Amino acid sequence: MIENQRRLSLPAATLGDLARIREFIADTAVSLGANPDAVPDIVIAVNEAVANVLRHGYRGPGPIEIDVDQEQRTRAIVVRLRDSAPAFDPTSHPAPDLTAALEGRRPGGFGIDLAKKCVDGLAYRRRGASNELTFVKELSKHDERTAR
Amino acid sequence: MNISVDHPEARESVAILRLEGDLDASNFETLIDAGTTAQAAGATDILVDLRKVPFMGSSGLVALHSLALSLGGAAGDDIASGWEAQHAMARSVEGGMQPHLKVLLDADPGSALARVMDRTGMSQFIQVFTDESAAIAAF
Repeated sequence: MIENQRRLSLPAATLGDLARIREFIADTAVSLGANPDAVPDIVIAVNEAVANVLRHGYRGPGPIEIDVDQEQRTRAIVVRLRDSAPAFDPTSHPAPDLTAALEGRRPGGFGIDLAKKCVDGLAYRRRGASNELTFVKELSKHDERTAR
Repeated sequence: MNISVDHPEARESVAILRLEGDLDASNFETLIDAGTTAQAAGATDILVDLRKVPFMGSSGLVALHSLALSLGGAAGDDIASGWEAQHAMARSVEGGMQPHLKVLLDADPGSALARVMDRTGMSQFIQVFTDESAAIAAF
């Protein structure tokens, strides 16, 4: 069950909006009860995803919508990022291959890999003409870590 | 983000780039430009002071990596290619520590910057210091 939800809609987001997006994610996560230790991870993950959309999806300004929820049952912060760029599933993207020969390399990089490493779950789905990327950060893990 | 440049006493070949503000996809090219300018002015080693940078995304890593390559005599990353620049970073991490570019972070190992450096493996390629004197002495 979703207990809380906050939304940020930017009809023509640019890279210059990244700071505002990070501030929204951080402030909302804290207001929803996220352990301060967990907040930077959520911010990093969403920042990387939004930067990828703007740089490689839109290649310029474009609409971005971000919902931040707290799921009471699982005590997780859930962020949903929606964009209207061409379909792209970063979850199916391989981690950077340190050993591939030049001609065998496939697109991919630290940004997506970094986003994956910062959250406990990352899911993609195509909804009509939109990409929706869902980030899950389980707060209980950080509560346990802090309590030790 | 603001960048100022200075040099340690009697070490004109070392440039210290002091950044203030977030380093992300909107401004990472500014860091590349500042480092390139310092190199053109004679710097052979660069210390990037990130202690007043609250946030750095992977674009900041691309800038650091590009400068490290340039200082080592290789071509910097083609940042317009995006993906390829990040592949080049992955290969560099595997290649081990380079000597010409180092970074200064604050002492909090849980900071957003420390997490980004560690989780991408870039701390295996770019030496991280929390003490400025020690960083300069390491060149």
